[in-house]
Amino acid sequence: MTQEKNYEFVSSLMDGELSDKEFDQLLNDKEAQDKWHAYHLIRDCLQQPQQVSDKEARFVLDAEFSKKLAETVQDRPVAPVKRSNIGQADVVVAGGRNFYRFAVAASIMAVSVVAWQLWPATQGEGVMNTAQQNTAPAKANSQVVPVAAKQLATPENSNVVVPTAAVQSQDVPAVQSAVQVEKAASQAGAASAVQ
Amino acid sequence: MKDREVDQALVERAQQGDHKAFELLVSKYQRRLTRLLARFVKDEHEVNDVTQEALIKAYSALPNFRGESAFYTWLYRIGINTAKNFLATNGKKMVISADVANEEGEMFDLSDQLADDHTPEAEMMNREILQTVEAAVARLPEDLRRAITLREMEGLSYDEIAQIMDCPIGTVRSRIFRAREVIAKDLRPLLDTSENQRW
Repeated sequence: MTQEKNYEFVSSLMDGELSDKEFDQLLNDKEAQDKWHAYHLIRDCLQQPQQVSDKEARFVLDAEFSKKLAETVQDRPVAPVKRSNIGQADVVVAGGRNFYRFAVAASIMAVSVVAWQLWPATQGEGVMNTAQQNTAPAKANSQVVPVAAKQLATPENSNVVVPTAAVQSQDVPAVQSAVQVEKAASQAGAASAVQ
Repeated sequence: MKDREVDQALVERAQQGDHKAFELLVSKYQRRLTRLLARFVKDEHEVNDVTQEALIKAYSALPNFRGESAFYTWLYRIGINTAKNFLATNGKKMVISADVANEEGEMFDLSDQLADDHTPEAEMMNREILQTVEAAVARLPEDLRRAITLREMEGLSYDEIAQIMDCPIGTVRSRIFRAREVIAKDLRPLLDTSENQRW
C-alpha cells in the first residue's frame, strides 16, 4: 500500500493534474516509467472505440519493433538544444517585440508631451497674439471682472451668500496684483486686436 | 501540468538529449500512431516499419519542434507524410484520402477500409489484453469503476468527477490511481512476456 501511494503521482501526472516536481520524479524512476507505460496501455484499451474489432486493436507491437526503435534512437542522439532556446525562445522574442513596441510608444508620447509644452513658446509673437485674441474679452475696454470679493455684494447680487473667508481673501494683496496682471494682459490683447 | 504541458516538458527533456523522455512519449502515443497509420498502409509489417520510421523522423526533428501545436498533432503529420512517402515509393495508393482525419488526429469511421492483416499471435494478444482490461474494470468496486470510467471514457477532469461523485478531489485522485493499479496488476502477466516488453 505504501508503494502504491508512492506512485499515485504517475496516475495524476498522466491526467494533467500535477506539477513540475512530480514530472521530475517520473523521469528519474524506472518503476514510475513502467507504471506510466501500463496506465497508458489501459487508457488506450478503455478508449478503444466500441465499434473497433479485435483485429483492429493494436495494443502490442512486436518486440523487434521496440528493439529496433530503441537502438536507432540511442545511435542517433538528438542535437541537444540549450535550455534557453527551448520554449523560452518565443518568450524572449515576444518580450523583445513588446519592449520595442513599448519603447516606440513611450518615445512618441514623450516627444508629443515636450512638443505640446514647448510649441506655443517657440512659435513667436504671432501665435501669442492669436492666443491672446482668442482669450481677449468681448469688449476691449471692459475690465476683468473680479472673482467674488466685495463686488458680489452689489444690489443685484445681494442674495448671494458669500463666505466670510472668501470676502476677507479679496483683501489679500497677491490677489489684487494677479488681477492687475490679468487686466494688463487683456488691455494688451485688445490693443493687438485693434491693430 | 495539463496534458499538453506534460508532453511539452517531455519534449524539452528529449531535446536536451534525455532518451527516457522520448521513450515516455513513444509509450504514450505509439499505439495511437500505429492504429492511425494502419488505416493508410495495408500490410501489418509495413505498418510497423512506417510507424517506426515516423517515430525516428520525429526524434530527429525534435530540435525543430517549437510547441506551436500539440505534440501528437505534430507527430501525426509526420506519420501521415511518412506513410504517403512510403506508399509513393512503393508504387501504392493511399488506402484512404487524408482529409478524413483532422488536424488533431481524430479519426472518422473508416471501418470498411481498415487493414486486416494482423498476425494470429498479435491478434490473439491484442484480444487478450483488451479482454483482461474489460474484465478487470468489471470487477472493480463501484466507486473505483465509476471514477476510472468517468476519467478515461468520458474524459472528465478530476474536479468534474469530484462534483459528480460528491467527494473531495483527493479521493478522486486516489480512486483513479487504485483502479489503474488493479487493472495493471491483472495485465502484468501479459506484459511481462518477452514478446511484449516495452522498449
